[in-house]
Amino acid sequence: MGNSRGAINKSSVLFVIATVLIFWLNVPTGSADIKDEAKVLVIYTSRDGEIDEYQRSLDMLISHFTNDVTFISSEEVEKNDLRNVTHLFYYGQVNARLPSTFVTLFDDYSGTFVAIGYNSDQLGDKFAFVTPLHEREVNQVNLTSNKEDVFDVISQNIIHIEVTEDTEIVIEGKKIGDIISYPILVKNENHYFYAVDSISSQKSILFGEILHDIFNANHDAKHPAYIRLEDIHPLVDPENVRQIAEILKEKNIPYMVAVIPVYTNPITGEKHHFSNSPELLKVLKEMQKDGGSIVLHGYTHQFRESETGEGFEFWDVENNTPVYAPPDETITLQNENDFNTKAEYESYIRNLQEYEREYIESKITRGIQELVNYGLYPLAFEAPHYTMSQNGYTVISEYFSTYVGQIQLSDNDWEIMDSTPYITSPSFLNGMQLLPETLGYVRPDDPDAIQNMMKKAEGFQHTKDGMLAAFYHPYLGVERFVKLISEMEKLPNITWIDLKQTDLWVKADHVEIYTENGEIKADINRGGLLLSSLDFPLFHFKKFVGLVIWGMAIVGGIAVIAFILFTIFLQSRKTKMEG
Amino acid sequence: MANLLLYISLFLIWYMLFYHAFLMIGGFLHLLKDGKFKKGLKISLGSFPKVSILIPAHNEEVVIEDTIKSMIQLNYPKDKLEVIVINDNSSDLTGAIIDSYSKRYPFIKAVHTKPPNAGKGKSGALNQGLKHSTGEIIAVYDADNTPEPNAILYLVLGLCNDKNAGAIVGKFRVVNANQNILTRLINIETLTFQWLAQAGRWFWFKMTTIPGTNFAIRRTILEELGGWDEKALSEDTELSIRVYNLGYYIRFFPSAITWEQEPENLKVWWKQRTRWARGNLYVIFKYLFGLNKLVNKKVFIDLFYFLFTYFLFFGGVLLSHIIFVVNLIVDLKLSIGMVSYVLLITGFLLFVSEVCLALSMERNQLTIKNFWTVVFMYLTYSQMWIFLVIYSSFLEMKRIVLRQEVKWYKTQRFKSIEKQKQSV
Repeated sequence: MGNSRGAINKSSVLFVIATVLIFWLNVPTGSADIKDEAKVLVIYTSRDGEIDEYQRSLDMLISHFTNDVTFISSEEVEKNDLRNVTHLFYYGQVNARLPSTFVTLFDDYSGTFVAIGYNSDQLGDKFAFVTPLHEREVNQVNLTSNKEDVFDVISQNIIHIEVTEDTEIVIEGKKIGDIISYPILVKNENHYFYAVDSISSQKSILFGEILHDIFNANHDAKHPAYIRLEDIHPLVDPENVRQIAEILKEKNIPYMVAVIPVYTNPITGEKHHFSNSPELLKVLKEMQKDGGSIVLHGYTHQFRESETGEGFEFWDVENNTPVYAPPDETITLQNENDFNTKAEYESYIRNLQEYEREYIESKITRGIQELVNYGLYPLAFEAPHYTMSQNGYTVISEYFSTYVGQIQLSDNDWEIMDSTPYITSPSFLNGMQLLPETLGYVRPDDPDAIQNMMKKAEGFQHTKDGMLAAFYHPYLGVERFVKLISEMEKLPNITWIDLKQTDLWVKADHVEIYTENGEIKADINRGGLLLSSLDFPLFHFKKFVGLVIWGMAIVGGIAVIAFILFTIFLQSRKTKMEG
Repeated sequence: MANLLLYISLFLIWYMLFYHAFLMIGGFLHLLKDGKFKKGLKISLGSFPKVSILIPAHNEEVVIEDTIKSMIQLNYPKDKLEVIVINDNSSDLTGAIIDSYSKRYPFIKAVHTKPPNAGKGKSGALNQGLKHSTGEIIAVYDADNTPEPNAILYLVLGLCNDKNAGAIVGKFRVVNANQNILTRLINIETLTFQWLAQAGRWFWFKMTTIPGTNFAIRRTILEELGGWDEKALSEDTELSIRVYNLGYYIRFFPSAITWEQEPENLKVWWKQRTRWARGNLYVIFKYLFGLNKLVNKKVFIDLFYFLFTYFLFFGGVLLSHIIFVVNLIVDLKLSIGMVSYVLLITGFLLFVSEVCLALSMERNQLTIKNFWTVVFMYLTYSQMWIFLVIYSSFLEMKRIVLRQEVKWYKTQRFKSIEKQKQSV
C-alpha cells in the first residue's frame, strides 16, 4: 500500500498499463468470459464404457472453450448430472441400446445439446429432426456458409442422415468427383447433430470452427503459431543451432527449443551431459536470452539400449505398455481375467502405476534440475515421441503447467496419438495447457516435406484460431530451415507464441519457475539444488576450474612478456655500461 | 578420472611455475638493488676479523693444488687468515700436497684425520676442521673451488655490515662450462638456480640456502649448533635450517665469486645429483614429518618448496606425461581442449624467458648458442630430473625401510682445469 495518493495513483496506472500489455501480448487462447460460464456434460457410449481416445479427442476440442467438462458414461448418467449444465453433449461412438432412462432423461433440459455419432434416436425426441440412414464416405468438406471453400480431408465414414425442413445444414461433405453432398453437421434451434463416429484433429477442423458458434465464443481470427527446434541434446552440432537461432532473432520470431539433457550412446551406453558441451550450452543460453524458450523433451529420450532422440523414454515400446518395470526386467502384463476380483486387479494396476510415477518423477525432476543448474529454465514439457500414458500426463501436470506437442490418447497403443486444431486444456491433462503441434516436421528424406506441411496449415486455417505449429531438427541444416520459416511467415494472421509471454509455471524439488511480464522468474533453493546431486556443484566447480586454467595461461603469458622486457632492459643497460 | 588427474597435475605444475616466476622477479629486483649494498660496505683497516677457511679434501690430488693456490691469491690480510685443509683419510697424494704448502705458508694448516674420526663424509671432515680453527668467521670451500681474490673479503665485509646475517653466501660459477654440452647445461642451471632461487628467495623472504661452498658463517653460531650434522646427506641445507632456527638469516651476496668444477659426464652428474636430492628428501622427513621443532617459521617456505618440488611438482609432471602418452594410445576423453596447448606453449616460453633473464644477469652468458641450449635443455636436461627424483625417492624410501646407514658419495673430479679457466 502506498503512503500517499500519488503513489497509489502511480501504481494503479502501472497496473492498468501492465494489464493492457498482458492482454495485448497474450496469445489468444480460450476466451475468459465464456470459460466461466459454460458447464459441459459429455455423456458417452464407448466400446467398453471407459473413456478412450475418441472421448479424449472431443475433450480437447471442447476444452478450448471451458475448463468445466465432465464425462459420464451413458450407463451411469443420472438426471441429477444435468443440473446447471449449459452445454450438453452426447457422443455415441458405438451403436448401442441406451438405458431406458434416456427416454425421459432430457425432458427438463433446455440448453444447448450436441449429439455426435450413433444412438441419436434414443435421446427422447430431442433429435427427431434427424433420421440416420446408412453410412457414406466423404473426403471433401465445407461450411454451407462458404460453399466455395471446399477442402480435402482424410477419407472418413459419416452417417448419412435425413433432416426435417426446418433444420439448417452447417457442414456438408462429399466424395471427390461426386455431385451429391451429405450433411455432416446440422442445427435445429439449439440442437446440433454431428454425423460422425470418430473425431480426430484433421477431420474435426470445421466442427471445431462451429464449436465457436455453439459456445458463442467470439475469438480473434488469429492463428497462434510456433516453431520448435527439436531434439537438442548434448552432442548436437552447436553451429547449426546457432545459425538458426540467429535467423530467428533477426526475424524477431520467438521460438521453442526442445532440449534433452542427456545423450546416451546406444552402443557403449555412455552418457553425455551438457556440462561436456560448453559450446552448445553457450548457444542455448544465448537463445534463451533472445527469443528462445526451453522445452524439456524428456531426460534421455531413450529407454533400455536405444539411442537418444530415437528411443522412447516414457513408453515401453517393445511391450507397447507404459513403463512398468526397470529396463532390465521383463514383465508380462496381466489382464483382469488373471485376477479373482476386480479389486485385486486394480491394486495390481495401482502398483504398476506407482512404479511408473516414480520413474517419471525421478527423470523429470532430474531433467528440470539439471537444466536449471546450467542456467536453462524449461518452461514447458514435451514427451519424447509424444508418447506417454494417461497416468504419465497426470504426473507431468504436477511439474508443468504447459504441454507442447501431440498427445497419446490411449494407454493400449502408443500409435493412437493425435493433435487438436487449437490451444486447449483438456480435462485428462489435469489442468495443463496444451499447445498442439499441428503441421508435423521436415522429414529428412521427403523433398516435398515443407509443401506438405503448408498443405496441412491450409486445413487448420479453417478454424478461426487454428494452431499452426511445426518442429524442425537443426541437424538438417540451415537452408531447409530458412525455406520452412519463410513459408510459415507467409501464412495469414499468424501470431508467434512466446512462452515467456504466457502465464505458466514449472515446479520440481528446489525449483520453481514462472513467468512475469515476459520475463522468466525462478525461485531456486540453491543449497538444496546443489545438494541433490554431486554433478550440480561439480558443474560449477569445473566451470570455475576452466576459468582458472585460462587465467593461468594469461598470467603465464604476461610473465613471459615481463621476462623478455627485463632481459632487454638488462642487455641494453650492459651495452650502455660497456659503451 | 583422467580429466581430474590432468587438472590436478596442471595445478601442481603451474603452482610451481608461478612460484618460480615470482622468485625470478625477486632475483631481477635484487640485481637492481645489490649495487647499493656493495657500495655501503665499510670496515676500518684494523678491525678485520680473523677468518678460518675450511677445505675438506678426500682424495683430491687432481684439484687441491689449484684450490690452495687460489687461497694464496686471496685479497685478505694474511695475519687474519687461516686456511685449514682437512685431508680426510685420503689414499692418494692429497695429504702430501697439502703438507708441502702448509710448510711454505704459515696461514695454511693441514689437518689429517685418522680413523675412527676419518672418512665420515664432508660433515665429519668439517667438524674436524672446526676443532682446529681459531677464526671468528668460518668460511668453507670445496676442494675443487678456485675463489676470486676478493671472494673472502666480500663475504667478511657482508657479515660485518649485517648483524642479522648468521651466514653469508657468495655466488659460484662453472669453470668448465664450455667443456661439453652437459657442463654447458649445468652452467645454465647453476646461474638460473642462483638468480632465481637464491637471489629471488633472498629478495622476497630474506632466505638463502647454503650451497656447501663459498660461504661464511659466524663461529658463535657454529658452536651453538654443535657443528655439522654428520648424518645429513646434504649438510648445507640442514645447516641453513638450523641457522634460521636461531633467528638469523643467511645473506646472498653475489659479488663473492668462486669458480667450481662441474661433472663432465652423466654418470658423475647422476651420482652427485642423487646425493643432493636424497639430502633434500632427508631434510623434508627430518623437519616436516619428524618431531624436530622449527623455531623459525620462515623455514616452512623452503620445506614446503622442497616438498612441492620433490613430490608434487615432479609428480604433476610425471602424471601429465603419463596422461599425454596414454591419451596417444587410448582416447581418455579429455575435456580440457585448446587451453592445454596454450598452457604447454606458455609453460615452455616461461621456462625459456626465465632462464634467458637469469643468463642476461651475467656478462657474456646470453649468447645465441646458450639460447638454443636453453631450448634443448627444456626437452632433455629438465626431463632427466624427473627420473632422478624418482630414483632418489626410491633410494630414500629403501634407506628408511631397511634402516640403512647414510653413505657419502664424493663427486669425481676432472683434470685440466687450468686450460679451461683460460678459455672462460
